[in-house]
Amino acid sequence: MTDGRQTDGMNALRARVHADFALAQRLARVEPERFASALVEAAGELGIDVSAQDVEAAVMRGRVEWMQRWLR
Amino acid sequence: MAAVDLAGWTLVRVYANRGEPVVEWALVDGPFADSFFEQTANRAMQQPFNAVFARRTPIATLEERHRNAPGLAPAGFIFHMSRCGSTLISQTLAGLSSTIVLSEPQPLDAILRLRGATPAVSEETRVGWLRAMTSALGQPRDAEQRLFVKFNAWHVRELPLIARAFPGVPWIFVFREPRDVVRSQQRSPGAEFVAGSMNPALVGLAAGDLHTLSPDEYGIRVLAAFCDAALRAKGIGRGAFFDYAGLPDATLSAVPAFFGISPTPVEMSRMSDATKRDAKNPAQTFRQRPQEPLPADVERLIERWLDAPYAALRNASRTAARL
Repeated sequence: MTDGRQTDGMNALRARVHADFALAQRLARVEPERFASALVEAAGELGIDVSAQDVEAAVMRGRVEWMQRWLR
Repeated sequence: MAAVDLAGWTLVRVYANRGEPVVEWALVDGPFADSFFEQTANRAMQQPFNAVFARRTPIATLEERHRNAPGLAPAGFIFHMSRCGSTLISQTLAGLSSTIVLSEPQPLDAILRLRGATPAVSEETRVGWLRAMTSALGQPRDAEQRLFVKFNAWHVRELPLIARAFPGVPWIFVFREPRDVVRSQQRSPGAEFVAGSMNPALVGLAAGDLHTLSPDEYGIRVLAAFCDAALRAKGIGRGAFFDYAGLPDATLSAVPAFFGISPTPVEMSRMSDATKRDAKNPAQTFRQRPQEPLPADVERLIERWLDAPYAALRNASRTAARL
């Protein structure tokens, strides 16, 4: 799903990353251009289904939300 | 409420969601070494990881974390009237080993802006939040042992509250010949100088002033309110006043001495290097700007609102120098 809403897969992955600091650190070190594919791969290893489009939509949504909060 | 494990995550921002403060956390690579906190926070949040995985917690999480991991107690606070060398001082102090210097951290600004908020937040609560927030921001990342906070210019009006939250922490107020401050603000206005960009009550003006004062008078009266607030705070805790005219020398001698620090030769070398750079753009060498004359009406406003507080601040700085 890439229509801008959160996907179940992304939510599940987020919960796993927040609970596992080593995993968070590993993903934070990924080069930006490899981030979507690395996340799809990491999610697959955890049995979570996310697509590169889901990841790209989540990145865009996160950046927009960060900027919007500055404007308030 | 179950404990939230935030070890390794860094507080990057506080924002309000339906009136409730929400704390945002990210993984930040390296120290807050930029001239301003928000530069480091923005860079971290541009990383795809943080865009997707930044964490958001209620402010109660901070209080719980404060109890479990208190972080560094502040060694000193820097207040200022804006455009007066305070960033130079913070960048110079950052040359000290084992030292964190937070420059105008947005999370503290967010808490201080709650004065007069609806629904009301009590002073007691704000004191608790300031402590918890500073504790979260002052978590050592690399065995640091000392924490300085440089506040936003308008925060000098909240100095009594900040001193109540952190009794005994020494503070300095940095000021400058007002014409130079006004020239700098006119070249590149800060939020405090632009009518409407902040709640006027926070900067010492009435809501009606937004509509009745000229842009120049608004900004000049805001600066006067900062200077007046600093002068009123003279008896609070241990404070000292530093004139831009004494910089950069004072950043290497009187300022660290006031905070009880004797820099080593290695630290002094780093601090001295910092004084040669443009504090707000360290990649560039500092150069003094030409002093253009000000329009007559602006000159009159400065005479009316700023010359007397400036003279009083200079007196206060001389008194402190003799102590």
